[in-house]
Amino acid sequence: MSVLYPRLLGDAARGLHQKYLQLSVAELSGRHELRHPSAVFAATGGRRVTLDELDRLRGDVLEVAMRAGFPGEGRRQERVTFDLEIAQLLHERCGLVAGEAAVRPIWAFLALVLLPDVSYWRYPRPPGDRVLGTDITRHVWGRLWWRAHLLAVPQQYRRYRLLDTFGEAAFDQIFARRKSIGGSRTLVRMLAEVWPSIDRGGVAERDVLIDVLKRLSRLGAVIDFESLDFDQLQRQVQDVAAESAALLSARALGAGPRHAEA
Amino acid sequence: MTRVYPYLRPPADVVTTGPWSRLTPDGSELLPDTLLDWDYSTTLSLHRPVTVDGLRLRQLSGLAEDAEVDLSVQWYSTSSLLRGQAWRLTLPVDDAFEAPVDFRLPGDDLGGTLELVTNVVLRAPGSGRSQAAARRAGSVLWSDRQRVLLEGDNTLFPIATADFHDLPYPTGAGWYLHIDEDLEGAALGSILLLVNERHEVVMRAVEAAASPTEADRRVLSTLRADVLRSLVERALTDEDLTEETDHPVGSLGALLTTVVRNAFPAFSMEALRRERQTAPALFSSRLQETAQLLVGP
Repeated sequence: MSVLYPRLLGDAARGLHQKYLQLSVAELSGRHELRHPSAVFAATGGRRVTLDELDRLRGDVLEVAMRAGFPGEGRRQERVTFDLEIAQLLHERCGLVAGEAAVRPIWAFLALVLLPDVSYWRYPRPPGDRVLGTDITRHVWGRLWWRAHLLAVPQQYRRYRLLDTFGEAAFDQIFARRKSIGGSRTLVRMLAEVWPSIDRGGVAERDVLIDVLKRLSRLGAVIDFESLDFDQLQRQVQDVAAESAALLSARALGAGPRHAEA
Repeated sequence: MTRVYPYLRPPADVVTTGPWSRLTPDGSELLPDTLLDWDYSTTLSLHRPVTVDGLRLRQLSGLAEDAEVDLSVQWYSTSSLLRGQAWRLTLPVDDAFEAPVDFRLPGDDLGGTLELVTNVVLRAPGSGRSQAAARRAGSVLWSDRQRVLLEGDNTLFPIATADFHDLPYPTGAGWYLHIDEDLEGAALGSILLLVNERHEVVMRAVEAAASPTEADRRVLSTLRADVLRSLVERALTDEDLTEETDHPVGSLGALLTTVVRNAFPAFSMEALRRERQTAPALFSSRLQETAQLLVGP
């Protein structure tokens, strides 16, 4: 049964964000709560999360954060590891189904009520969309749950082994195309499976990925990727990626002398 | 918008489909446009009769007889934006081949509007095909789409009760309809009807909605009319919202456009905007009429 989380609606969320932008991480630690008078549960299917569960979730997130240097600045790599561990933790532990995880105000509750200190530590002085319920693809917690949901493999053994395939910026490219290819977990997982073996010919990962995603989006208009067997899908994604890398690589080589002349 | 396919496709009549049905504890029933009793824990048992002319299909697609072709069903959810395969069957080289579609679809990844896409797809092109024939595995040769709104009004109007003393709304109000700003966002999660726990009359009516008294009925009618008014006003005060704008299925923008169209089928949005500005009292009466305020049972 899905677990329902409190929803912190726009006005209340914006008010907290404006206040919290002025506070230090230490001050924010004293502001965390397990409930908020303005947060409401919607009457959809599922049971309400208990205060004990919220308390445990906060404890577990804090433990991961401390390993990554919280409340200090920490190193960049530690934050990358933090994101990966949190993605798995949220996906395994929250008991959310995708329909409920698409409801943005639940993520505002986590960011601004349950975990304000960790949220503003992960993104110091964040723009609103990192903590408000405005854009899941940018949200400090929501984007991590979705990253895990799109990349988790169906079997239980090493279920989250694909999580670290793409860096944050690269995965954002996939997530931003959620309505086209990003909604197909089969395709996203396959892309993650084959990505490490693609010879990018010296072209930046992000450039190749953007081009591959464009090509897959175009193909998706006439190809039913979901209907393909593992081997067929693997071959098609590999072919598209190889074609894209070769083209961009050749273009980069061709552009070299012209740049030199200029 | 018509999609242009870079390969030969057969005429639509190579596949004959019957209606989608769902299995319920009481037997089988035609799949309605809206499933009022659906929630995330529901597993849908869906089926539909399909007959395919497997030989004619291959011939008219420019494919060889040894081409491998599948019939498959894909699902897509407008709230989660996820998609996946629900069912698949290999089609033999026989005309009038009966391929009864039959599968179970768990509710975990669904919500909003569910799209069921029945596809005939190429699995392997075989030998001796026409130059114009599809060659890439997965090429869609034939397609059919059906939409069903899950959860009905519950999706569009999740209701929550709260003490307005704790919320930034007038403490003595009966309700507040929260509507998000992002027109592209999923309607689910963008709208929430908050009922004030302090308002005894409204709370009593909402709690008794399944078997209301005459007094409750009047309260609920007023509430429904006000919800409609709030949605229509939201639509008309947003200049970005027009009949021509193509908002994604299941989005707030699509919902608001539909609400205005259904409420005022004879008026354009522009005409409604004009009337609301120049003759607000008349516009208000028109809203009362379309909402059937205090009319009937």
